[in-house]
Amino acid sequence: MKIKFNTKGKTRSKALWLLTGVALFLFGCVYIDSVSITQLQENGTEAAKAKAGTVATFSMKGHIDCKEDHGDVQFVVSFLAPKSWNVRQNANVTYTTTLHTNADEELKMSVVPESVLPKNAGGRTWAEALMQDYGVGPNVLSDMEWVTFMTDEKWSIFNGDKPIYTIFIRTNVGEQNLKAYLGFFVNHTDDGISSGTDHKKVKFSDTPFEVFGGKGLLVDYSSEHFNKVQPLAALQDDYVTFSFNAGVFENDLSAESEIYFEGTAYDESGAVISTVNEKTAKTLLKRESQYNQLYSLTMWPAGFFNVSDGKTIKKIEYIFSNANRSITITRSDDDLAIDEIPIVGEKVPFTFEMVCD
Amino acid sequence: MKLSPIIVTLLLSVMMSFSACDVFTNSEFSEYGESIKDLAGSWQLSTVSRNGVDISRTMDFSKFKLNLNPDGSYTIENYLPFAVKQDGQWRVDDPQYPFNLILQENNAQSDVTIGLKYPIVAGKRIISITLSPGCYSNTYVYVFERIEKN
Repeated sequence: MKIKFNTKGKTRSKALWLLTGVALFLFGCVYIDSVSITQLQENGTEAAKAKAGTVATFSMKGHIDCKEDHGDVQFVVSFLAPKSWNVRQNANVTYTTTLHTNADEELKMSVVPESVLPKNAGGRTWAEALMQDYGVGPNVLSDMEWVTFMTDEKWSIFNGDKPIYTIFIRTNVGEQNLKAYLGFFVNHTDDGISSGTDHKKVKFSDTPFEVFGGKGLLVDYSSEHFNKVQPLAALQDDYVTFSFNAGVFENDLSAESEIYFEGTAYDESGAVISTVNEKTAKTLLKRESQYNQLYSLTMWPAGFFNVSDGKTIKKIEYIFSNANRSITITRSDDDLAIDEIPIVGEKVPFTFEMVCD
Repeated sequence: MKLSPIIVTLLLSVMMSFSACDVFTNSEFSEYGESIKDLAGSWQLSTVSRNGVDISRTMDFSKFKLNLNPDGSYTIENYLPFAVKQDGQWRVDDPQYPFNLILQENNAQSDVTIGLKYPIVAGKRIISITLSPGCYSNTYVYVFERIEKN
């Protein structure tokens, strides 16, 4: 009887430890408390924008409420930004933490090489896993990337520790005028994008961040438009997809059975290279999926506009129309739908600038 | 000096084991040489991905053909963005383990070297090439299938 009792006791004790372990694992650990994307402007005010070509500082504050011990762990931060910023090359990432004897000292974080995979993401890289799990957040254009950094130093952190951290991401915002929501993700190397959410958090900026005073027309990653172009950085020997987003605002063109692309290509001097406005299979948009109302045309621009050797397309002006051209959707229609700018006189086409920065 | 039978036996067995290894190495491994990969043939562009996304169905890529002729010349039909524009001469860096396809346009001074993968997919050899013919930030993977002769 005594032996039986002990065995039961052991089993019970094991179960208790197991439950405690599970509970400890479930109680964790990493939190984002606030994100700041505002920059000091020339007039002394703070705003979520920066002049093209300058370095902006983005910061994130959070805390860790540790219910388990971790030794030799590195804290991880990932940043979602437009590809044109080239964050991997340009960003300088530092952090402060109350785990350190000098809580004000900024310590270094470095880019995680692609070969260093997160522990629990099923063989995916940090960038692949984050893009699959969170995409580009509230943005609507996909030319963005997640870049991941980890602390150079390894930390030991114990059950009951409640350190506070601040992360600073200083990076050049590039030359392209744009508007985009920025994304922030925190995790640590012991977790490595596991399926739970206790050890990882993601937050997107509440407002879009804007780059002004740079090159080209404003590329708006942050809100839906009638038009969409992929990839945003493209030259005439790329494959470029022009899309008409029929479901985003009320319009007459979406009811048409056939929707066409019309475009004019210009060279560096502003001279017309050619105009393609035929209504054939060459210009017919295809509906991408039955689940959305995106009609697209993918083209090789140099071939599509029959560009001769020595000529280079600098920009493409384009509109979407029905077969007899009685209905068109242009930039003027987009401005009316989004900014309620009335259409006066002739409609203005959409413009795509062929740049590679 | 008198050798004990045990030492003699040990020495003999060591010598035999060395010679046994030698014979095994020479006779067995020489028969398993890597076969020469023959890339010659007419190759049709079957799938294209742009920055990791398959765009094969968005336009007709299948008319683009790369003819790698057995005499070392190549021709391109229905040109699409590629590493070279003109016809010319082709070779691979290593016929047994081809990692690179080297193309030299007619009258060109230099070669263009393209990284190459040459796996068997669904029982067929394919050529997979990664290239950036437009903006450097855009990466395309072209997969070619061999056009079988009737």
